[in-house]
Amino acid sequence: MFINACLYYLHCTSRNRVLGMLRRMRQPKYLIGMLAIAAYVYVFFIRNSFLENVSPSEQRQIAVAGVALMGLLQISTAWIMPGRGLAFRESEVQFLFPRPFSRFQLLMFKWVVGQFPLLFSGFIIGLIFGRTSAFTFTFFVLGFWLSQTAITTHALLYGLCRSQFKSKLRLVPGIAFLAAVPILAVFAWISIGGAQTLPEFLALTETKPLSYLLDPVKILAAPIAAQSLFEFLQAALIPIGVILIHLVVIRWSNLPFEDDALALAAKIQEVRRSGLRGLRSKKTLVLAKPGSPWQLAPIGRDWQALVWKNVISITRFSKQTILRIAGVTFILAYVLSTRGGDFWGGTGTTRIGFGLLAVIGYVTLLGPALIRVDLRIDIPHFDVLKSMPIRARSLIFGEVMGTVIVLWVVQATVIVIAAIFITEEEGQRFGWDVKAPLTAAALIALFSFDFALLTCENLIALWMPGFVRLGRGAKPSLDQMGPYILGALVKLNVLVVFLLPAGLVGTAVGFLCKYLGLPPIPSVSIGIAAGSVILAWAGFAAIQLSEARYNRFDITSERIGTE
Amino acid sequence: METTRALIEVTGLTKSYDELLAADHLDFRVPAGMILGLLGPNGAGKTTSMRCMAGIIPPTEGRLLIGGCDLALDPMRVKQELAFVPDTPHLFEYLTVEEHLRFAGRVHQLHDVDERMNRLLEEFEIEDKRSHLPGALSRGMQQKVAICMAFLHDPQVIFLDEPLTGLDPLGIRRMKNSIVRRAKEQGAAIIVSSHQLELIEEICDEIYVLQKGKKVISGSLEFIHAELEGLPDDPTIEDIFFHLTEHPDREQSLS
Repeated sequence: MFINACLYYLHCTSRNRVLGMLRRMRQPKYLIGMLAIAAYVYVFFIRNSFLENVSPSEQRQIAVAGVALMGLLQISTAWIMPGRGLAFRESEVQFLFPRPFSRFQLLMFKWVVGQFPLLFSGFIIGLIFGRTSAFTFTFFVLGFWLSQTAITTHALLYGLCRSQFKSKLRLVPGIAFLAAVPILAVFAWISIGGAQTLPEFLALTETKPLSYLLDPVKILAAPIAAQSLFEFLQAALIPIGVILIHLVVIRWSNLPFEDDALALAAKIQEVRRSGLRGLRSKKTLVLAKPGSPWQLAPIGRDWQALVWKNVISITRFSKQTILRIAGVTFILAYVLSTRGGDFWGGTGTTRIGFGLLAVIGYVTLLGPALIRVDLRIDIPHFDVLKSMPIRARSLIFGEVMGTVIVLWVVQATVIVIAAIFITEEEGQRFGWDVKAPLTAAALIALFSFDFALLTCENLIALWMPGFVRLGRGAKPSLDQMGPYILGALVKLNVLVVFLLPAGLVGTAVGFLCKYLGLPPIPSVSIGIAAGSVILAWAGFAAIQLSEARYNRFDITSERIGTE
Repeated sequence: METTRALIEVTGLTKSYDELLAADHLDFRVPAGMILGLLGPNGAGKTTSMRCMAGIIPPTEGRLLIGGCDLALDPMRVKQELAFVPDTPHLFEYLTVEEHLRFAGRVHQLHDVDERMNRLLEEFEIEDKRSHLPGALSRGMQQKVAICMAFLHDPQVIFLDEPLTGLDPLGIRRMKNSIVRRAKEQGAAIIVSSHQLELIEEICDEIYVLQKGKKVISGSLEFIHAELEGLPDDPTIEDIFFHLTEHPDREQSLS
């Protein structure tokens, strides 16, 4: 009964999934996107051989060590998080738990269903790494699958045992193990003077005491290096034995897991609906309620209300998040000031200053992707917004400006601190006669660039909603990645269209100032400021041109995939 | 009083999560052919209690006998005869409607799945949706699919958690008729949890009111009306419910 039902489920699910994907390929955006992904994977991963210039026997040892290291990290993270084995979906809880399935059968359902992704990942890894003459492709794929199955089965049993303890101390073994792996790896790295080539990486994995942890897992990974059927079967005995022993213990122990599974299912559902925020406990969310210091004023312009709505949403993060950011910043600053001298000159504070400038770069480029509190979140709620008496241009402008303000405040703070810290590098002093105009120009430029970039992001979402991830939900499936990549390419082109005239004007003004006799630094600063004005104007113009699109937008007729 | 065979016997049902007591020593019996309405405000413990009785989660304490069999000792046998309809249906996203029912048929080893499936799909008017995936169905239709899956094997014990949510008026009528028919004609024991008090009033033989995991009162509406003071002359179930949940210290039991 169980096997019959399980096979039926697997057959129907796989078939419908593939058919659904093939049906979607009839739409050009999905087909082109999928071809783009396939081309990318082929060019960057499959065509290149990562194990060139290394002897076949070394290739096999490196592959086994690499898979073992990956397995070690998987085991250590599985000791903290229950993993796939107990992560039932809400549909599975609702329809399988009340059915006449034993606990073991329920777990086996998940275990069997999980084999296909493992086999598929083995196939992909095999395509990337296992096509050289050092390996037999079939044994590589099957060996990888066996090692992964052994690890996930172990993670399942560990998760079951761990779920019997309710104390917070149950996380201690996992955290200790997870901390031990990188610490031992770094220790090994230092002891052999660094590993920059693949043979050196191999030597690192054989260094004690890291090897004490790695050697048992290498035994599980050994089948990938088999050259003959006999060799494969011999090497596969141990991972198969490990799997069987774990399954027997799971069957015999009959440990209850339903409470944990239910809690996980609810979390998974929440993550699918609202992204990673779904992982936060309700208690944290309640306590975080007064997290934002701002309040929405009862009167003011309509677009300002949207700005405040988004600013309040973005700044409503928990104390733990602030502490984490502060902690990471402190560590980064410490490392730069004490160890950065190995890489570049200057005083410790100057290195911190330049490090902060690098952080600005990341914040500027990644900020719009990470902070999505704007039209991209609100388009699924357009039925509410469109019923409000707000003009289209005010709405779009307000949505964009909320994130721009928060981003710019962060950037401005960091830039000013960086300017204070940067004093001297390789004998050259930086005074405020130089720093002040450059800082001012940078502040103006960053504001304009943030505005332009976020306007791009929001207008692409408005004009091409099927090509942008909307809503808060979990990451898209593979066939949705294609349209999103195309959307990103279009966004890049639009940004270039914004930047070109701004760049030309800025350059021209800069040269004009120099021609008129101004010193270089003020000329550059004025040129940047002029270009920034043009950039901001381009953004405004694009918003005005999008009014008609907003007014015509009908959410039910747009084929939007949201979570 | 003649005692009829109890298909559902709950004794001392308790479910706790750390300090939170979701269900606190609940006791009741549901004989064959009876429909028990489980009432209570949000967070009263209705869904948790139903999940314990359906074998989805184990109780912290207590004994659950379904059809005379102990759920803890022989869950497989018990689950062959019971069905659970959740408040929010989450279907398998890559199974069509028909495949959902066939899957349930295989789990319960039904030989006449086609006949049962066609009958239920027609009864709940989702015949034309049989080859649709859940993503293409409205919330009400998904609820109907969940109901069809639950009724496919003609269970003797049925737990329905907010069964009418999302259904259109015809679906509501069909659902009510189906519940009553299964109880009165097929002798099923049914527990229905709902905030729709008129449903409870219309189809339930007795009600069991919960608040903060504890029983407030249980019995027929006439009995409860007779026992309670301070009610208007011709109280509706709504009057009774608000009266009970505003005075949680009051507790009565069946005579």
